[in-house]
Amino acid sequence: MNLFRSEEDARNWEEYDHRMSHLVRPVEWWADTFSAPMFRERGRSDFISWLTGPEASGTFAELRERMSPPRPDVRATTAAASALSKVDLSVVDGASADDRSVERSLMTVWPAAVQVEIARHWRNTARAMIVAIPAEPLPDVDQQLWTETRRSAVRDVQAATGWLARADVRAGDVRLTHRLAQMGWQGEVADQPAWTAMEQSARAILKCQALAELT
Amino acid sequence: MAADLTEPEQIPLTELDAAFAAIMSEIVDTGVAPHYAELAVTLGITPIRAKALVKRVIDLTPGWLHPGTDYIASFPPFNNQPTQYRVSIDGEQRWFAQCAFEALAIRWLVPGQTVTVDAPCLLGGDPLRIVMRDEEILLMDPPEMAGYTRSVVGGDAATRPFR
Repeated sequence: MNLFRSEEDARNWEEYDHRMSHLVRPVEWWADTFSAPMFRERGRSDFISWLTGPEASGTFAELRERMSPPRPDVRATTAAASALSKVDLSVVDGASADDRSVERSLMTVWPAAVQVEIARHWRNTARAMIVAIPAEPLPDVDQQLWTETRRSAVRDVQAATGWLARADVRAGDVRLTHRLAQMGWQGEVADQPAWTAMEQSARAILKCQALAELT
Repeated sequence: MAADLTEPEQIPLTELDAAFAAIMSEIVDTGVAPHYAELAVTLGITPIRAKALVKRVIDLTPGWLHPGTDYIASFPPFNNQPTQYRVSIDGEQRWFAQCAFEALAIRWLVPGQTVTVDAPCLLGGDPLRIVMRDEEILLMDPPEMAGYTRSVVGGDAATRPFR
């Protein structure tokens, strides 16, 4: 198992096998994968007893599942997360709550394979970014500062969704909250409208993951 | 008297636990896995018993012996035989990882210490570096670095030298 400068380099490697294309992954995904208990527990004094017991058997099954080829709908959902994270920030400048510019921009990069129901939730995610963060500043807030705050919030939403796509987060996963906390979305910030947008996005993303797993 | 020396599956788990922990401790401390005769001294057992323990531990884990020998070649996450995955712990380069992904698991054996993995890209040879400590990835250069394997993880023993 090997490292490459980029995903493109991995695909250009002379020994690349397209049948295993689902295992071209960002290093963050591999770091998550190799954080499973069977790797963390190697320092224990009874490791072989643990490894041959029922607990390790379950974690090994989870590892194999994680590294198996994804079904097409799951692959499409991950692609959608990537697409959302790459929408140009300029589309949210001045966008009002009923503005469809984010959706339209998103549709230009939308993967063709996304199912209708999943696509609907992703559009809701995109809209959450503009609905919950008002385009017009509050009366006592400087317009320029508000615009920059808004762009910053959207940037964070995109960073979070991009990370979600890479990390292959499943429904019920709590790592998003931790990730957002690392980005500074805690304390007083959690009371701001942008935090609500972030949470709505997170819920929609997790809902999409759940739908993809069920369909 | 220990269990039958000739029946690997009859070896008590407590003995295998002790052997695994001793080998791992040695390789974490020195960067080198012990020979079975050295392991015998550490565990206070006969060399032939230590040899049986090493073989059984290797059978139960994704490591391997160098073909035709009793030398430990790979003891994941580490490799006794040098690989392109050079690993430094708190700035000292003494270890090698079995593969790129096992390199990411070395941090769990050295809590609180900084693990640096240096390797060349297999396509163009560009230098790649990952720095980790516990749960954190402190540096990834270049940031768009990717990992890939064409081997089935958890496949049969013949596929263990993953590519």
